[in-house]
Amino acid sequence: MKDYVVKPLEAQLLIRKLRKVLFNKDFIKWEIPENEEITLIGTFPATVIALGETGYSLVGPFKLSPNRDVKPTIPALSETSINECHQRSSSIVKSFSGGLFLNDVTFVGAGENNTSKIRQFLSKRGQE
Amino acid sequence: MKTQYLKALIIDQDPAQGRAMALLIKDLFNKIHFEQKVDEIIKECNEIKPRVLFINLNVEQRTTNFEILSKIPLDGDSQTVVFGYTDSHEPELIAHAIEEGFHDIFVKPYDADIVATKINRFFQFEKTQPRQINYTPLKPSLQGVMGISLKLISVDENGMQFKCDHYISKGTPFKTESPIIQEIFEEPIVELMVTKTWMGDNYGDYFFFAEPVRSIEKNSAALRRFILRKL
Repeated sequence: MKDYVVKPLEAQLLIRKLRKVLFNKDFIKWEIPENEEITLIGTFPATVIALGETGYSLVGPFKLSPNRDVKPTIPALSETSINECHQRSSSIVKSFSGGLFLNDVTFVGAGENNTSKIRQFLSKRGQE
Repeated sequence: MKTQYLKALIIDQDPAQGRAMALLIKDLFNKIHFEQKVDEIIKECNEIKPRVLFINLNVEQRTTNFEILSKIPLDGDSQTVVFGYTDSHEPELIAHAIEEGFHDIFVKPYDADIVATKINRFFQFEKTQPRQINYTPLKPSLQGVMGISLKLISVDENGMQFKCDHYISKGTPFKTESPIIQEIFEEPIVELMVTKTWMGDNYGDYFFFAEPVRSIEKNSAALRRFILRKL
């Protein structure tokens, strides 16, 4: 399948997609030159569903490749000081539901101070 | 729980610290080798082919131990896992170690359960399936965002093609801001939607196509103007 359109159908979009698949010259495209590199940051929704002293489970519409540095922004976790730790995706990824994946993120080099703050955070939430 | 035949090599110039690490991990490995002399490490690695390396970073000249890693004959496909251990919690040291290729760093005081969980996670033993890792479920769960680095490949009248280290699901909306976004859409932040995703020829390369979540007329005009300026 080369492409698809979703309802409600828009004639302009349909025509443009047809021009693209037919390699019509009117359909213009710019490719980044090989000697040039443009990188940007995409911000994707992410949810932490479980937390422990060694890491956490992160659900999102992405399947993280193993052993990559990651740094999601989870405002509710700011008091745990996990942002001070290096965080790395592990090799465990499972399908969650509807295009979402359950990713495992591990803390690298977490010290006693970090783990005690995580313990405090979890016990406080348990009491609420 | 040893469910695979695993050999570990501890590289430590301090025999006392090396023995302490060996005691900590003894139940996880079938065989633990120990090496003090840097010159012998390459020979040892070639002979015993360890699946896991433990390197002490807590020596006077840390760079020496980072250099060891670059000399060790690690096969691209061997998936040898390299752990460092130290009594220092300096962020610079940990960041440097990660950049050099260490998979994880253990910081003193070592917690035997945490060390075991982290080691096991790399090998996906039965013991550490995700639900069995000692994480506490959070209810309600914690919402946030994840910033992922994207490499722009091309721009056409429909949208933009990106390359990424991670797989992104089709139908995912995301926001992005950068000078190029400002240049194309004349707006600092734009919401895009992933409409197509595929794997590259090289393992670990993912590509996706994203279309702006705005009116077609507004997008078309902005994209056409940008491409015509570039061509």
